[in-house]
Amino acid sequence: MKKYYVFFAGLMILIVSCVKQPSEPIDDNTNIGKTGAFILCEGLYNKDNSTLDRFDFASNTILNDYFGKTNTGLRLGDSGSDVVIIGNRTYITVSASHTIEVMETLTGKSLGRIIYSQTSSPRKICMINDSIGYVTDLLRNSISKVNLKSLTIILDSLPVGPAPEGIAFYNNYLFVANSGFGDYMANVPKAGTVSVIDITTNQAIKELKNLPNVIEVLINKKSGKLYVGYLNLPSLSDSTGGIAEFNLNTFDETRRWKFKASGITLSSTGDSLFFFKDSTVSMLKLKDANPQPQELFTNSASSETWYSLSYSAYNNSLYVGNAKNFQVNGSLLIYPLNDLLNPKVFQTGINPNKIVFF
Amino acid sequence: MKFNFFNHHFYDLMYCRPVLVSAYLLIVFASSVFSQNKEVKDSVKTKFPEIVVSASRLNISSGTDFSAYSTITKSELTKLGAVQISDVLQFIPGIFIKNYGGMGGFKTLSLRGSTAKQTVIMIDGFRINSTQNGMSDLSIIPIDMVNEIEIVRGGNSALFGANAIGGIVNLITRTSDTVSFIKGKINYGSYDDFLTSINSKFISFVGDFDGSLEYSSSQGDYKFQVTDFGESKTLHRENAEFENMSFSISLNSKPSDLNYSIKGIARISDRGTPGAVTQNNVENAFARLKEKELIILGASSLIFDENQILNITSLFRINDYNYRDPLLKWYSPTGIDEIFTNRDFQITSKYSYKYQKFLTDINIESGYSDIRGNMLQPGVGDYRKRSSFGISARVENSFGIFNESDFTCQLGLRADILSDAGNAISPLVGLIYNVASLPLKFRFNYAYNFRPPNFNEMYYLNYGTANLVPERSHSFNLGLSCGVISNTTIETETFLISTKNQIISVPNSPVQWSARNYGKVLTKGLELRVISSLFDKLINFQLAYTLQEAIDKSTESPTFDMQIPYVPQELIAGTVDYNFVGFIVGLNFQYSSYYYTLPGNSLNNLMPSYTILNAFVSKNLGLLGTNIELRIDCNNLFDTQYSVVWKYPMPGRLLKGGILIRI
Repeated sequence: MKKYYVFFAGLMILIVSCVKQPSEPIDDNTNIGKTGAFILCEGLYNKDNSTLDRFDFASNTILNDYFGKTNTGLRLGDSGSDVVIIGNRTYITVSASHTIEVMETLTGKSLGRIIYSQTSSPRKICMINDSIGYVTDLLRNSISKVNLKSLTIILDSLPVGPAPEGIAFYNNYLFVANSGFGDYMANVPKAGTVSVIDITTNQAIKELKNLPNVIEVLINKKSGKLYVGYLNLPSLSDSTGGIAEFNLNTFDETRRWKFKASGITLSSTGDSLFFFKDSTVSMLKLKDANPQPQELFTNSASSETWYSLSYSAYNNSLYVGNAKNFQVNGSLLIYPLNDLLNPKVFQTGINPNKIVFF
Repeated sequence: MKFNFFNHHFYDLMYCRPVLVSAYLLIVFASSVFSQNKEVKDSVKTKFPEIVVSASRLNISSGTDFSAYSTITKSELTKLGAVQISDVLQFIPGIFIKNYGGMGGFKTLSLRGSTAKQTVIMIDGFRINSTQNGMSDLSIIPIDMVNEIEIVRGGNSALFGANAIGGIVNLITRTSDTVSFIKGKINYGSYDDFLTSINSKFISFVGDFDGSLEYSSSQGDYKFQVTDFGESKTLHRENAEFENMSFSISLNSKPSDLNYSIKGIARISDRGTPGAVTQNNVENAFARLKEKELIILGASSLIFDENQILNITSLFRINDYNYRDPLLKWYSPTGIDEIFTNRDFQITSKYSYKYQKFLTDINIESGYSDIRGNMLQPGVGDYRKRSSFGISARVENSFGIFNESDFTCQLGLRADILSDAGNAISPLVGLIYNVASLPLKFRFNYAYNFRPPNFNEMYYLNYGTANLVPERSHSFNLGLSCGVISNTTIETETFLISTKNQIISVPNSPVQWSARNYGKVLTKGLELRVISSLFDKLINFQLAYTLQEAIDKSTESPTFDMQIPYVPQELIAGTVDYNFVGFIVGLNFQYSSYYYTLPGNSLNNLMPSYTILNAFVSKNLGLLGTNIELRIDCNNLFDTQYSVVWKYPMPGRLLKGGILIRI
């Protein structure tokens, strides 16, 4: 009989050892950079005045036009749209200059650029790994595939819906927000949808619908959810837009919140979704059964527009890009979540539209 | 940045100014002595050229005398070798031409730091500002039909109605008594800039017919420097081809108690519209704009007696507009194909009565405009119309205080009702003091003015805001005309314009904008115009000087107290010509101080100051009753690289030759 106990005990040990011990979650949703932040300032269309600012955590200072100052004679160009960091390389899409500028993250030194044709408008970029990236092309209604190491375009134009903006990657699928550019192409097929594209076949396997003027897509790997921000059509007087949640495995819509929201970003745990709602920064507690937006802090300057929002896990703070009236130098506001009443303010270039951490 | 006379590049020339002014005064003195040695002339007449009143002028009464008023005569138009109206207007103080470059580039005019929409452009007293966008493009107005230009600076809505905030520019067309029987002209120059025109008149028992045909074209492929990715390179302007053809015909009745005139102007243009040159990009490199326009003007005047006159005028205008850009794919997958038809109809009746020193004008105006197009807001559909009605009255009286009739005052009031853009009441007060013992005149004018939102501001797709209200503006002008110096007229003005509810484009994002009543702007300045004819018109000299500032006074705005973009603090323009043995040799220049191109007043969007020097030589020949003028021009003599509009390069040195034949 004893031998059965020994065998059973051994089996239990084997079974139990198959279950991994829980550890600290790996942050897939937020930047956990500990050095600082890049603030991409879009400038104004046709003004050729995009800049990249650098904020350092240690010195608590900002260096405006970091790219221009570290690369004498160079400038980003017209309408910088997106910045992403992978390792010691930073990629910046510059839509109206038809380029992706590549920069060494820590030194700011230019490493070259991917140059698109004059008819293209590289908008948002997402990384598959350190070699492959996908880029939405706002004017060609397509996405392109690029080699991030050789700085070459592998696939120039894979058609999607009209005016694609945000792009995200999860589990072999790309999620592309086909905005339709507001009213302009609202009636074009696939406008206001999110295309789900299998990157092995380059085929769209599904369209997530009923998302007019969809701009943003955000993956929450921890919960297996996709969050989509849409703005609705400017011509509709009661237009409010909203945030929709989809299951990343079934692509079914699970929840939807209807209010004027933009700048969606996740907490490090993936439990909270931050966003601009009207003139506030608000939060949804995603684990709640029926979460409602909770106001965190308010933009008291009615004439100023907050334009970008990012969460830093390193110092548990929300970083806000204030575009003011879109025509003047903006500012970076840092709100520690444990001290929302005392934000720090730093001047940036014109229209800070993306904040990433390194 | 606070206003400071010398806080710009032209400060360097400050040291030259005393020398130049001294030299000029010396020449004036010498000329004065020279003149005194010659026959004695009617000094008042030479110092103050009489204003000749004609039906096509802005106002048959002298309502404009209370404001800053200037003219550009036909001889000045000819002397400056003008190919487009904008070539001459910049020699008037207070005028800034926003020039997008080349012959086919858009050219809009603003006065006294206002916007182009706040300036009224007229042909023979009829406003031609587009009701679609509120502006008028000077590059497509046929210059050959223009005989003279009047400029009234400062607000005057009580006299001229909507949009008269910055001022009024009136293009007076030819009348048969001002043209030759046949006149032909050909100009050709760098970048294939070409202008040809022919006009003739025919006198019949019905009246005088006058017809003209004008054609202009350009390749516009001038070169310019850019820096892309750290490398400097030379590019040529692409997609800047331009063609504009116009035809006009007019009939003027024989002078009698009932006078009438009918004028028709037809125009067709086709041009590329290249956009901003930014890094690795020329925006709108394939965009084209085609326009067709027909304007019919009718005017009649019934003279009851020497003290009463009734004028009835009417305008009909239709403008077809088609803008295509296959690359602007955010409008549709095939790009933008924007089609609009804009129609305007105006009818005005004006009764003037004079009793001794008392003058009364009563004016009734009615207008109808509509727009049909495929780029209106979804809720608007493809059609929108506007009706307007205006009634005004003005009284003017002369009285004496120091001498008989040395003061003249005017009071005016106008009411406007617009079917979709609000109403406006616009008062006016003016005073003139003529110093009896000297050729010296002081004038003061106050007006409360308005500009209604245009169709684009209210209904354009993803831009228009339907509930806009009219801009309102207080305008003050204090001026002085002086003819104390022999053969020299000096006019100086100070002005202040305070505008509220200014409609500005507010970005919803960096690429998408909408119109809002938002701004409050305060503009003030000083203008000086000097005209000299020295040594019995051997040397002629003109100088236009403007010192101004336009400041954002919107208290909620992040740009509160900052300078308004595209308003240079200092503008200087001058011409000098020398006549000898049938030749005329001339130089002219334009200087603009720096200005900002965005409201933030950052050094990153600072447009540097520039000075452009032009030169010409012409020769008149008489041959068998035919007058022939040969002419060579060199514009931008020093091949200066500059821009007026941010990222829109201007042409470098331009050579052109021309021949003009009058029979």
